[in-house]
Amino acid sequence: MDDFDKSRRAGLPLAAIPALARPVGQYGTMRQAEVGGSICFGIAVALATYKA
Amino acid sequence: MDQALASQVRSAGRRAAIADFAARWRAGTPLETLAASLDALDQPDAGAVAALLRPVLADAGWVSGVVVALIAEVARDPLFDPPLLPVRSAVQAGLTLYRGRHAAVVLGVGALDRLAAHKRRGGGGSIGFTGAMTLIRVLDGGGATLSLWRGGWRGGAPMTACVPIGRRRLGDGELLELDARTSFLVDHARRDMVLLHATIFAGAAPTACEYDRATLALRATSAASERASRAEMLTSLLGAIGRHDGCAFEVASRAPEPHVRWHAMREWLALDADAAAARLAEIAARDSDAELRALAAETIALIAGPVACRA
Repeated sequence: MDDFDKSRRAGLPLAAIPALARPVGQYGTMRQAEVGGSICFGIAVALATYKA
Repeated sequence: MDQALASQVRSAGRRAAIADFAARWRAGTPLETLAASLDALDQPDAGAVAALLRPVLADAGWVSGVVVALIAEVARDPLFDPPLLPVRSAVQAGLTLYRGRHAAVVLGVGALDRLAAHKRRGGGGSIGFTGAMTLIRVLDGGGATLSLWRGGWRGGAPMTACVPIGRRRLGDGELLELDARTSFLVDHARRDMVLLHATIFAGAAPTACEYDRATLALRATSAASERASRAEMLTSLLGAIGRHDGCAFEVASRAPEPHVRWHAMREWLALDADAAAARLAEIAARDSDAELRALAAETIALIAGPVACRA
């Protein structure tokens, strides 16, 4: 990986920038404790083994 | 894995057999034609994709041929590894028969013992809405009874609570169509369920939504696609390593999903507020999402005031 950009211009502190009221989780992090729906039976949010 | 077994699995003969299967398994199925038709679509809505999927699922006799061929391969060689992407969840084991930009088709089995075990572990649980339209051809309904629910995005925001909209038996052979705001729970089943399940990525909601089973209140949201999460992670990586790639941030700030747009803007502003200023003003004035317009306006006011900048 390249060296960090030593000539970084000024930015805002990330913590100071307002965020969404409701955070959005990463894809695949829904917890389906009940049985049903496309989360259980579809390709969405299913553990898939990548085949090289 | 044992070395001898590993060498058997990786044998040239076995790899050749898998490659041969991969080359011919689609013959006699409508999947090649489906793929070509879907690939030709340019920014379709869910309805246009559904129109192409519907006949493929409605006349699903071709699925038997695929299953018979797979069984024949495994009968010939127990270590045969199907060249199809497996899909597994707590209740389903299946294979991906098609995956493209706009849709995916999965043949899956919901095993009764897994269903029962999952329900026993549930303890309250949640109701999930992927935000995508789905078509389900019920090859074997397992004698299942479903409860149907309405939730997800409406009017530009996630519904704060989901609502029950009925119960029904899952009939063998039926083609079930669920819009992006409808989900179901399996309340009861008598045997394994076999479903041909099509997920339509086009026109999906900005996020998946999860509701508490007991209170029906919105519990959490998550990205509805790998692409959305990947964009967020990559913009965070660019910010973390100090890479001033304005083009990448600009593109990510125009993602279909509001949460991706704002995530990219926050990372860009933290890295280089000057470079991000024009896009920030544009969001404040014209973004389709009301919350983003408000956040951008608040950030512009923040920049205009006294603020400590990173050295």
